[in-house]
Amino acid sequence: MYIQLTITRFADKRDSTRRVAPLDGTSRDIVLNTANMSDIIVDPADATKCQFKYFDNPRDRRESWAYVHANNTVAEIIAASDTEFHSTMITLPIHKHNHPDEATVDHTMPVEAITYVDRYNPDPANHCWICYYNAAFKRREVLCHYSMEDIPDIAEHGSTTSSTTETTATTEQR
Amino acid sequence: MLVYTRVTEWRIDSGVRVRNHTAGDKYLLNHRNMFELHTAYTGGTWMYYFDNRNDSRCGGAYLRSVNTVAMLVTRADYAPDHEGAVVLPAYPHNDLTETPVNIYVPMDQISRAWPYDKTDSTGDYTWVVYCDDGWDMKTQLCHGSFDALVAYVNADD
Repeated sequence: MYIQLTITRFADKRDSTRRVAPLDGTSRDIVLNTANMSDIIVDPADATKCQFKYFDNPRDRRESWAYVHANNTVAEIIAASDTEFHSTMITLPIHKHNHPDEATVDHTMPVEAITYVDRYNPDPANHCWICYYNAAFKRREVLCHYSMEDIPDIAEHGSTTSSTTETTATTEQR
Repeated sequence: MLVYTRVTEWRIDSGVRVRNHTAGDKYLLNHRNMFELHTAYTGGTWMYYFDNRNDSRCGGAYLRSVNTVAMLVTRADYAPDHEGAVVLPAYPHNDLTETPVNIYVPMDQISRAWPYDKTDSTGDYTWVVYCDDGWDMKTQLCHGSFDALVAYVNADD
């Protein structure tokens, strides 16, 4: 299952450890896939936090792991791991050319294909970045017409259960 | 898991995987190998299908199915039988004159299956392609009809 974590450090080689940028302050919320996590441990300095290795593309043996520090407990991650997906596939409205003003096209993919979901800074209530892999072969980063918080909700329930007017309206437009 | 569908176009191997481009050829496909499913202008689905999703050298091939995206997702969500290991009566060396030997393949590793005679899915033989993780792909001729295999894994909805 996906889980929204408050990340304080994302030490990856791909993005030069900039996923938590200085502009974010001390942390940034990112949705991760628990299936891509390994070696989860309790933070030695604070039992309410955790550390783990994260693989963007676990199918590719050339992919090295990132080291992640999160302000969440190990129990939260285990609970998310034990949560069943609503379906083996997930359908998301993706903007053409990654432009928020362009029309969306529904993309359907296996739930395990999504590696992370990140906030879209200019309009976080209605859009988010989805990073997924087509098998072990190709990395895709696309702009989705849902907020980041909606994605775990859709994965678990099949639709958003958020009560915000904006999000509900977005869902109905599909 | 294994999704039964009819394929009308498959842009790989010079297009020889599909002969009936109108009604489509019968295939069992693995839903984990399906990516970027879209509604096709013809009303079915187009997607990128990866023969071996665990091999980074394996690219996706354009595949068109007569079924809708919703139907394929429904068929992917069924509760499969024999998910742990599918028993396949396999002909050694893919030779029909030899005696079939049972092999056990995790359903997850099966990439695709289709009837030996593409015009008759009730015939006695079926081709099954499965992967040894990211390492190797094996094409195996098996005893038993394609329809029987579909029923055996409980794939049809």
